[in-house]
Amino acid sequence: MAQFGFYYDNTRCTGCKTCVMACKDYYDSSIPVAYRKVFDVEGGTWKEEENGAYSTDAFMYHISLACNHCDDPACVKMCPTTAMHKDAADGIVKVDVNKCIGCGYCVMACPYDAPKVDRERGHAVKCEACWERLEAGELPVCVSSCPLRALDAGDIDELKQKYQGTQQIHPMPDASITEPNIVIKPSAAAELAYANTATVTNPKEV
Amino acid sequence: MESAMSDMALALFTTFSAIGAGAFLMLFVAFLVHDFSDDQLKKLDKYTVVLVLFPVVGLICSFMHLANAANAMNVINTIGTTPLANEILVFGIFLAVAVIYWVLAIAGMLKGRTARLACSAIVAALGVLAVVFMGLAYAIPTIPTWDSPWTTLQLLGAMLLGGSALTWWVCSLVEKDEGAAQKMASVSRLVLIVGAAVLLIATVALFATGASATSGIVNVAQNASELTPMLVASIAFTVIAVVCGFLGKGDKRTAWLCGAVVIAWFAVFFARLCFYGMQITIGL
Repeated sequence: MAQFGFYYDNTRCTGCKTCVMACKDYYDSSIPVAYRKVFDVEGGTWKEEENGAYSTDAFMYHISLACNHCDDPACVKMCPTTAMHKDAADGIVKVDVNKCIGCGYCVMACPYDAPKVDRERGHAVKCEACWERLEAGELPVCVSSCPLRALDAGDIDELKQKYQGTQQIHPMPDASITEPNIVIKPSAAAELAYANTATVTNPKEV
Repeated sequence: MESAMSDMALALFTTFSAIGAGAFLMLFVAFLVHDFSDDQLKKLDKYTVVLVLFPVVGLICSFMHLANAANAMNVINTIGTTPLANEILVFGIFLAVAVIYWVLAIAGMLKGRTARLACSAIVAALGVLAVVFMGLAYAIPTIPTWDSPWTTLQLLGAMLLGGSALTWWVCSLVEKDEGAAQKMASVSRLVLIVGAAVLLIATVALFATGASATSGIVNVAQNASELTPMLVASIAFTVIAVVCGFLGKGDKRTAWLCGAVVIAWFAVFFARLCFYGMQITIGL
């Protein structure tokens, strides 16, 4: 695999967070740490018509995101110890726990809020794409646990060929900043969000 | 608010270190504008431990921020390529040279005005450089509210405000003759005002940048309203520190100047908490 990536079908996702919990369980993550997160995005308005009826353009959708193993990762660029590095073999962004000082600069720099500092473990932690499972021919645990089959993973070029999609939906940052390796099939609501004010309604959860 | 509190150790590190660096800058200025007697110099060298303690406490606070300080030597891997490694290197050099200066001074090895001026100038220059690099460490492109010259200017303002108050107070313990210390007081007051102005302007500018930012995940208006008390506290403490500096005359000169140090510390600390609270990224 030249470069690992994720596929996310935004039209299928119901925001059930099974992917989040499967990952937390598999890696025995502490309560505040989650390698994958589901953002609930809501927006739109209600409008009173002349006849007294109400119409709405309200919408909501979910974004399931882990590390996007970017081509130009902001976390790697800011890391003062080279602990955060991009594996040359598969393009997965990994943490060398023997080098990490847990300064949190990767956390600050990542526009996807992917890495976290686990103070109990004494280093930064993040999605490393279940690379041991990949080597064993299995899919990452989040992908295989998704009951809606909204996630897929593998070589990013193959995913791009297999699925049509984009690298970002609102309110994800401009993909040109870090070049995330993700293909997203946007839902109608996510496309509508660009024309509306949409906010993440579960900030405490993510 | 949460962001401000989670970065408490960093706020303490930057507060203590910036003030410590400023104090060494002002120590050099004090040597430049005032002729201390030998007895006064001996006393001043003893009190210089207070100046050294500031960056030392700052260093301890910075280590408290780390999840695993045992791996700290790995920062040498990226010196010259990452802003944080550069900051750690320059701050480390400043601290080491400051300690060496103090040891030499205590041991009576800084004989003559030229040697003292030269050595204190080196420490002062390294201190200023450390503060600049401290500011540059926050030039993170994905955090536009931090990635501006105001970040470094805020720290430089903190350095001048806190540093001038601290050294002026320490010197007042040594030079009891207020008339003889007139020139030093004038320079200290000037630096105090300049530092206060820079700190105030930079802090307000950073706050305004953060308050006008847009984010899909952070409720920017709520974030700004929660941080407003800290901003107001920082502004109030900054003004009071300057007032204390100007009241630092007569019999209670030392007490007023000591008050200026404490209040300037809080002014800088609240300004730094405001800064960390304004961490709004371009993304999620």
